[in-house]
Amino acid sequence: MPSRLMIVDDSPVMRAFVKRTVALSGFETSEILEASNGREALDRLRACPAAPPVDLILTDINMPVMDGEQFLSELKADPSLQAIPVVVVSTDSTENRVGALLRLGASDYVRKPFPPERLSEVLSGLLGPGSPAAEEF
Amino acid sequence: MKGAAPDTRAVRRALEEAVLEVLETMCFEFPVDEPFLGGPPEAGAVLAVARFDGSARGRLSVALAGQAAPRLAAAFLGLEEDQIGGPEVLAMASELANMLCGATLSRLEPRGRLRIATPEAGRGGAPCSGQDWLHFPLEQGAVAATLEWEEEA
Repeated sequence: MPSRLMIVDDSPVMRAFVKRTVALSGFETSEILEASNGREALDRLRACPAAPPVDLILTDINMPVMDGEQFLSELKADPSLQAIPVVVVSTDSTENRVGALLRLGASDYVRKPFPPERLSEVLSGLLGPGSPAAEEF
Repeated sequence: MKGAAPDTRAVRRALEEAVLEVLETMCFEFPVDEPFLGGPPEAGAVLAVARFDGSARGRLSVALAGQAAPRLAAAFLGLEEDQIGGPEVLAMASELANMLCGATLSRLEPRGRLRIATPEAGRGGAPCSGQDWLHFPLEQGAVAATLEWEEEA
């Protein structure tokens, strides 16, 4: 079943890069939503009537308005959104930051720069056959 | 308290590894010759600066000379070079500075707590801070980068 993804990043070229990488990975998507910060992402998710609004979120950390850490905290505190897996895609890969994000509920972490295969591997693990999401159907 | 600046050999090694990793994985580009230390890049190059703060403070600058900027932007976005305009070049240069900064600092300060500000990009001369730049010759144009570590006052 095609998946619905959301990409949260303040860089339009990075959103385009991630979208292209997802397409090249052969991963089937029905829709890819975009947001340029955590606040915009939460507003879009809460306005969406589908439950869950997306199957997976890929988010940056350093963003204006609402950063990735705050976004993750608010998302995981919202009963209607907390089950959505979140993958952090960021340049900040210091041990402290990665540990903090995983404790907040991030499902995985992709350090930028990344080869396309790394993103494919993460998407397959979280949404592919045998993944927790696939077994819900 | 901010950490002491790492020695110049460690900075050069981390910067070199980071540039090569970013060029290869995100732009599918490989330098045509060995990187070398030199002065600031030519005037007119696209310049992007990423400032960082936290357990260390400073800035990483990257300059794209000649055809490097449109070529790397096209590769990054999966477009043809003639589809690339000024806004795409500047946005890609900013993202390049962001990734290089993160990739370099995670090598130098793997246990640090750092925040990278949104990079700024434009065309113009590099600041004359007397800092050495690490130059990477490409098939068309060149990439140069430098990392300045600010000492705690």
